[in-house]
Amino acid sequence: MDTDPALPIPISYISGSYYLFSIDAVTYLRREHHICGVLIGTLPQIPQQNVFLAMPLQLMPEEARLLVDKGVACIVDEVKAHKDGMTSIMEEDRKRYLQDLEAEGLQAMRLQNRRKEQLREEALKNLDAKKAAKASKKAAQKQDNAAGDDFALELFAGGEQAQDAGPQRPTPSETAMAVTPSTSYPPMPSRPTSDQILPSPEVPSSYPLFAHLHTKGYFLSPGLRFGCQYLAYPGDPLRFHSHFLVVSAEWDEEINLMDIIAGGRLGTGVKKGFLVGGAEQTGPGSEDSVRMFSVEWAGM
Amino acid sequence: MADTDEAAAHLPASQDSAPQIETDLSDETQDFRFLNNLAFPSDSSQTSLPRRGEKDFEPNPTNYQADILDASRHAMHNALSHPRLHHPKHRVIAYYAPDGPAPPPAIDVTEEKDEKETATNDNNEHNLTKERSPETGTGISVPEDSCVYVPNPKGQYFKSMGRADRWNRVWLLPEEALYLIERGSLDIRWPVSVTGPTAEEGEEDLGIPMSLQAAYACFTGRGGLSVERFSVYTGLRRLGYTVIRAPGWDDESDEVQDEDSAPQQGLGIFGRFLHWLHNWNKSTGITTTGPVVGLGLHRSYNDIYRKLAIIPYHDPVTRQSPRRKTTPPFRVVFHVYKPSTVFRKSAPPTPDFRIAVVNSRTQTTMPTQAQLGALLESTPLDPPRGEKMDRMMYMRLRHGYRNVILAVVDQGVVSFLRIGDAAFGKEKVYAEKPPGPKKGGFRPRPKK
Amino acid sequence: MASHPTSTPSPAPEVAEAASKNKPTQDNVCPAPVRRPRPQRPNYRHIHRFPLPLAVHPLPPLIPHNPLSIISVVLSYLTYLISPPHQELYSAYFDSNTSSVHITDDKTIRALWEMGFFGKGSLSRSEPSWLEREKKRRGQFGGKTSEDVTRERRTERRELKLERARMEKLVIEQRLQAEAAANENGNASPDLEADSTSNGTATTAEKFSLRKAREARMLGSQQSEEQNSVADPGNASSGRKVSTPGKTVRFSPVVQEKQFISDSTVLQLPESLVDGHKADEESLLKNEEHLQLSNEEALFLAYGLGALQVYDSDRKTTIPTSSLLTLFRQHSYFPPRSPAANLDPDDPFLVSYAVYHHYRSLGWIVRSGVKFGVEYLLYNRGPVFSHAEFALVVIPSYDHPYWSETEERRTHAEEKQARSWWWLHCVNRVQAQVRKSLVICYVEVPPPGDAQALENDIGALLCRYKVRDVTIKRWVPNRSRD
Repeated sequence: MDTDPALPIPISYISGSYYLFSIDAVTYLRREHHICGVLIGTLPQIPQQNVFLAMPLQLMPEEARLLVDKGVACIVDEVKAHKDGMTSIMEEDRKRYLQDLEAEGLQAMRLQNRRKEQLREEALKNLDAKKAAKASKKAAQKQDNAAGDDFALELFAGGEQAQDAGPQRPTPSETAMAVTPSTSYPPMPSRPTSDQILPSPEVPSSYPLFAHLHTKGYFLSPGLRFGCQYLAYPGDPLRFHSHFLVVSAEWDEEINLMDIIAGGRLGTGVKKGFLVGGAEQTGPGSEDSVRMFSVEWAGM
Repeated sequence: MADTDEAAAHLPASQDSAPQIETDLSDETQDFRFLNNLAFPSDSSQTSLPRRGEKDFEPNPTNYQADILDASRHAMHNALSHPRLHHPKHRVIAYYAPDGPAPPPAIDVTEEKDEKETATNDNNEHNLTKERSPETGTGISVPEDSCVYVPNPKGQYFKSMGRADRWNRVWLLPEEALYLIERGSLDIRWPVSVTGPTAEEGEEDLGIPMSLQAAYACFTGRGGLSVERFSVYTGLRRLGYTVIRAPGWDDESDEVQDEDSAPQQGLGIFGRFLHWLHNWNKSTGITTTGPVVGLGLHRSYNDIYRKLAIIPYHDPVTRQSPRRKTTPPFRVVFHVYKPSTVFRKSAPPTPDFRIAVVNSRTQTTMPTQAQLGALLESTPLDPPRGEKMDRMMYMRLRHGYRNVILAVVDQGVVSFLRIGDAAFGKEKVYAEKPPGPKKGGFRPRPKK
Repeated sequence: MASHPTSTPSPAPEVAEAASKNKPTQDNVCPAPVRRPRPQRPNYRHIHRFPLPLAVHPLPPLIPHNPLSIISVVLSYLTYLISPPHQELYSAYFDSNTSSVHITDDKTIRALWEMGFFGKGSLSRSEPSWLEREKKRRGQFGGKTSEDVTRERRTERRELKLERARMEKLVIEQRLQAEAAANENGNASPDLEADSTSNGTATTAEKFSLRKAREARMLGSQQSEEQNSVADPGNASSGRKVSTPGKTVRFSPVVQEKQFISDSTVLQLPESLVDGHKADEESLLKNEEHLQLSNEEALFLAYGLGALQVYDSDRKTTIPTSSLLTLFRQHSYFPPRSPAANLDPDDPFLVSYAVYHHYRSLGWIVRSGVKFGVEYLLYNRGPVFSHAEFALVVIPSYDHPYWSETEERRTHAEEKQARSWWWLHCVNRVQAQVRKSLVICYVEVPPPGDAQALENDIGALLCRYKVRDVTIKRWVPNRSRD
């Protein structure tokens, strides 16, 4: 967790969106730069739910831009990188890569078998204690039948393999698990070539407000589902509820009063402030100055 | 009086009123520590997921808080580092085909010709299943957007995914392949043609395993698969829905809803009579400066209301002519089936839901009447009928005569909105029987 | 109200309602203390028995087998011929400062409120009830007005919040001290050896005690109020159930809501207490309240029902209906357009009136939805009977080819139709909070047409606007699986 990735961190640009595929990068950016993104992948351990999601992490263009401007990250044309990279892998690298994967797979298999063994022993202990051998046998059979797709299931399946093998004996004939790696680096060369680097991301007009709140220490996430543009958290959303529903407006934009009523009401209803803000374009070259207003429903 | 409306938030919902705001666990970032507590649940179903965790209001300088945050992040890191592994027993291997569907390389051209003829004989089956690319030069008939094939398909997924070719290989669309690799159920390999010639025979033949990153690079943006569409696809799949592409997937084609079953609602004799009556009513000058209800005696309030009805309204039952064309992104791209619906790949039933996918960053405004109208009209008539609907007017209104689901995607966060073609004009509230004396008034349910 | 001795002002009808309906179940909730009988809920079914301020004269039923029934029908015709029943024509005046229509006559105010729920009291939230409230206030509190009560309540709430903040700070300081002490002892982190979830419970416990303190205080203050009022314990406990424990927050609408309810019960005191003062007060008290009609309501009453005549601000000349429409259209811009300026077919008033008229003609009670960020709320029968089920937002539509003929018109149409996604989600969430269904009402805007001819024929003008409504609801895939 504390292994810091080499900078600048490559952000994958694929078909209009920005992603991170390396967990180290995700953890680092969250900790050091308050960038959370949105996990959009299926969690292989528990694939049938939407509450806990996994890699990849999708970044808002605002987030990608912020990181590039800070010099922490660069944008990589991932489609091009793959086209270039996969065809030019040296035979030697390929072999080494496959060997590494095999070793990883073997390790995973051993781990899993050991775990199964532990579970089996625990289960046996329980069996003895309960002396309910019949019922559990049925359950085990049922599990055997059910085993198939989920890795999580497999761990508990207590399959024939473990039963055939003697206890504590790491089966020498075991085959390696196949591994689907998260990233393509390796086998591809870890640094992108200059022609794969893309310019800084284009951002919506709400970017100044986004960047301003970010410098104030807020963690920001997409807020559309909650009726705003960004949710602003006082700390890591893992541990804190958001404080503000953020909406950006142009400096000279006429704001409909009804929108403020609805926003204020919504915010207060979920115990948050409704924040409207925007940047004044003070002229070329000068810093954008951002002003923000928090609306709360008095209800009286 | 308005306070009644404020207080409505705190009252239990009556059967006929709108449900309370839905809290959804996936709405907010959950603490991954709860995931660790679960370890690997033996039952991976929804029920074993934790309720929402405690969170603090704001950061404070205590180590205590910092330590909890560290623990949470650590748990998240661990959970996300978990590799996607394929046990040799259950492993399903697939190959990436960058150029789309093609016959197996082992089959030479002459043989292929023969095969092609048999293929045409086989075609009956494929025609049944609404094939979009019935015959490519290669002699296989699978959707041309397919780009991954599974030579040895096993497992439950292929019941609702992929399409088999004559060599019994199952071809997957990009979203199907991406979904399966992401959940760790498919081991996709780079084709040897891409990664260079193999030096040895045997295991090496498999080629290099495709990473998740490579899968995203190769599959999103391919064959109309935007990441927004994929987010909707995978989110529903994860919950057990069956999701397939609708005819409106491609920009050129449009879903045409055959509505011969719906009554032809031209102006019949009766309609023309009504029309005439309406115009006659107008010409009498009543509506010119009012009062619309007229100056004479009123025999009943229903009469008054009938006279007041001078604003035309859209009737979703009547067919629009000419039918308006849908404009992307307001177009049905997915047909969705509940987990309980019996689904056959070869003959998909009528979908339970129709979904249009919108990227909120490129389409920043909600649909106009014309856009939404065309979208609704591309769906079949689904009038509010049934025992419950007949009793409950509010329910009828909420259900509407047609419906569609908009999935608005904001940078990976999907928000679903159900749109119902309500037609309030068809429900005469004044004609509703007021509730009986006992039921009169506003009555919260007895408290438990 | 003044004309109706049985009715009492009721800022919170649900309170009265809840009390009367809950009586049977009350005992299982908690053995209630000896409770004074609540004042009877006004007979709303009787008060609001007419849905519109128009009189109807149904014919006696014609029974084929009974020749006498024919006679009675004929008779009723004759009576109407000889002395045609009088249709009340109410009067109001247009106030250009507020761009709205006002009524000061008590009888008219009651009539328009009771028959169709038109308008709003200028000093009340909804039903014009200022005078009644004022009488009660003067009779009951002897100087202590409800404003005082509100002020006290607000002070108390502010103190509570401060106290909570203090306690939170204290807890943090204590922890910091403990951590510093532990550090000196070389003990890295005293708390974290425990399992993560038990950490969670530890924080809960702290907050819980805080909450307890607050509730105890609140209970105390409520009980003191209960001594001379009749707060409903069932109601109070339900309010508490709603509050979500655990999360520390600065805003607390739950508390506001709850205290407001107890406040409103204070206003609903038995009339007998007031009676003694009534005689003196009545002579001194003048009703300062107007009934304020929205321009849509006024036009509907005048043009649709013929039940209202609107006077100019000088209150001498009546404004003919067609001029009234023009006036309202001009005033739908800010600042109001001068009479010389042209009026557009999509001016806010026309679009909004088409919607208002449409839903009124279907029998809905249509009232402003500004509190919920929407144009209209639709009530079935009226706000005293139930809360509004539907909340309406109005969006103009420019589908007619005219609007896409030139670049300028296209831009205009685009701007007028544009609604952001976040706005839609925001409004939709607000409605969900108060259990309303969101309805988007699109109004098809016609091309300008022959302005002159249309100005003289309101009916022909309105007929060109077409309404299409769709319901919007958040769809939660997790709950739609069956």
